[in-house]
Amino acid sequence: MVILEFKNVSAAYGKEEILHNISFQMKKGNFVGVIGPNGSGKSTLLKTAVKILRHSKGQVLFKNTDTGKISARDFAKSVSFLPSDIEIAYPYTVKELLLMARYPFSSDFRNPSKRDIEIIVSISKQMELTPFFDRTIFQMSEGEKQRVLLAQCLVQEPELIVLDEPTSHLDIGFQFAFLDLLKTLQKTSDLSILAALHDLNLASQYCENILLLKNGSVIKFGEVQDVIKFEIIEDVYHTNVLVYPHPVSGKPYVFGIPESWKNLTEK
Amino acid sequence: MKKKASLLIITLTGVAILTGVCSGIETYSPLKLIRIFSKPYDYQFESTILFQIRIPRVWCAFLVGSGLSLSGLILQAILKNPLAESYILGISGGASIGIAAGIILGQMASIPVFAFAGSILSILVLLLAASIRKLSAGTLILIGIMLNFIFSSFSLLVITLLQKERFMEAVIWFMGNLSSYQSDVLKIAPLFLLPAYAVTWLFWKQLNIFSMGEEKSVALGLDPEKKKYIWFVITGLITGYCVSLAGLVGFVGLVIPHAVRILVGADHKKTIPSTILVGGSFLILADTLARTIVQPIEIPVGVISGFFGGIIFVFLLLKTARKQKW
Repeated sequence: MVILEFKNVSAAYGKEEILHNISFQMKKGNFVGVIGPNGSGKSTLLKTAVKILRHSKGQVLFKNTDTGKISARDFAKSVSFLPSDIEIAYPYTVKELLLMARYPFSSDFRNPSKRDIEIIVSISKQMELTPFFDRTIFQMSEGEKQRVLLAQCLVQEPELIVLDEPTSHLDIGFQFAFLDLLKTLQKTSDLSILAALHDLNLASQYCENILLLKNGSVIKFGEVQDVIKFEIIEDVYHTNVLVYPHPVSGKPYVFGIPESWKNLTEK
Repeated sequence: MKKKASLLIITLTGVAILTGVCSGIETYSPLKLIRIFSKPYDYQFESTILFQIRIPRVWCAFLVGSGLSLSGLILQAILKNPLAESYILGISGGASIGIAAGIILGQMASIPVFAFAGSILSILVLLLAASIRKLSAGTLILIGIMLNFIFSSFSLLVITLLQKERFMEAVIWFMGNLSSYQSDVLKIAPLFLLPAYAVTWLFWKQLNIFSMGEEKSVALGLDPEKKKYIWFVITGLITGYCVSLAGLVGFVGLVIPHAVRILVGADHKKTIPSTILVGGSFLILADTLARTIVQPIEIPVGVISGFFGGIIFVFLLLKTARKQKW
C-alpha cells in the first residue's frame, strides 16, 4: 500500500521555486531517506509532505487522499513531524511535552483522558524516559532532548513519521541508538518513516529506499544499492568517493576522498 | 513543590491586597480594618476612605497588573519569544498617540477612550503588516519595535509643543499612574477583562502548542495562521483597556510571566492563573509604595514598577541563568 505520494509537485517560498516537479511513491512500513547536498530542497520537501508548506503545483497524497483536503487536526492524528533544530523556548517538563502531542485527539478544553495518560506512560517506558518525567527540557542533554522530541512524535500514534535531520547534533553512539529505536518501531508497529539525513552512510545502513535530491529535483529514487553508487554520488556532491560494501551489513559505504589527498592516491 | 508554589502565590495575593487596603496617608492595622468592616456606621470617615478610595484603587491596580502580565504571557507564547510584551510590540506607542491626540483636542475626560483607540490602532497596523506578507515571529517583533519608535517619537513631538500644564498631564499618562483613573472606566472593567481572562484560561492548550513554534504547531494539529490573529486581538483589547485605566505602566508584562515560569513551570494551565494573581499583586504593591513612599506626593506607579521590576528581573536572571536558556 502507498502511504505517501508526490505527483509532479513543485513548491516555492514566495516567488522562488525550490522544488521542481517531484514525483515518488512511498510504501507503507518503509524507511525512506532523503539525501542531497546543502540547499537541495530536503527540508522543503519534508515541509511540503506534512502540509507546513503549501505546494504550488501537483498533488501530495496521503493514503490516496489529497493532503489539502485533510484538516490539520485529522492530519496530525496520522502523521507526526520533527523539525530540525527545534528550539524550545520555555521550561516544559517531559510530561507536559508529551501531553501536548495528544492535542489533536481531544477538544481544546478537555483534560487528558485515561487513554492519553496510558499512551504517554507506555511510550516513556519504551523510550526509557520514565525517570525524566518531571524534569524540564532545559535540564537534559542534546541526546536526551532528541529522544523526548521523538517520543512526542510517537505519542501522536502516527502511521507516518517525518524527521528533518534528527541525528545531526548527536554523537555516533546516540545516532545509532536513535536510529535503532526508529528501526525497531518500524518493525513492531508498522511505522513508515521519511527522514532527511545528512550522513550518507547512516542513510545507507538504515533506509530501504533513498530519495536523492539536487537543486530541488529528484536525481534518483530507489533501493539503497541503486542510489548509493560512486558515479552518482561523485556527480551530485562534486567530490571523489569510493563506495565499498560495509563489512558487516554488506550495504554500500561511502568513503570520501578530499581533493588535498590527490598526491596520496596517485602513489 | 507545586503545592508550595500555589500556596505562595495565594499568600502573596492576600498580603498584597491587605497591604494595599491598609496603607496610605491614614494607615490602618488589619484589626482596625475588621472593625471598620463590621461597623461601617461607627467609622464614617474611615469607611469612606476605604470604600470610595482605597478598595477601588487596589482593585484597579490588580486589574491593570494582571491584564498587562497576561497579555505579555500570551504574546510570549504566540511569538515563541520570552522578550515579547504588548508594550514592546508597539501598543504603548499607539496608545501614546491616542493620549496625545486627546490632549491636543482638549478632551481630558475622554483620554481613556483615545488611549484605547490608539492601542487598537497599533495592533491593527501590526496585523495589516503581518497579513500583507507571511512574516516570521522575529520579523513581527522587529516591526512592532519600530512601530513603537515611530509612534512614540511622533507623540513626543506633539507634547513638546503643548502648554506647560497640559505637558505635565501628558507626561503622567506616559509614565503610567493609578491616581487618575476614571471610575466609570473602572466600573465596566470587570465585565470586559474578566471574560477575556476566562477565555484565555479555557484555551490554555493552544498557548502551549503555539509556544512550540509555527512548524510544530501545524504538526500537532493546530493551524496557527488564523488563530494567531484572534490572540493578537485579545491581547490588544486587554492591553488597550489597561492603558485606558492607568496610562503606560511598562515592564509588568515582561517581568511577571518570567517570574511565574520560575515558580510554577511553563505549562499554561498553571501559568495563566498564576500570572493573573502575581501580576495583580505586584502592581498593588508597587502602587502602594508609589503613594506612600514620599507622602504626600504620589510617584507614578510606572516609575516604581519599572525600577523594582527591573531589579527583580535582573536578580532572577542571574539566579536562573545557568538552568534556563536565556
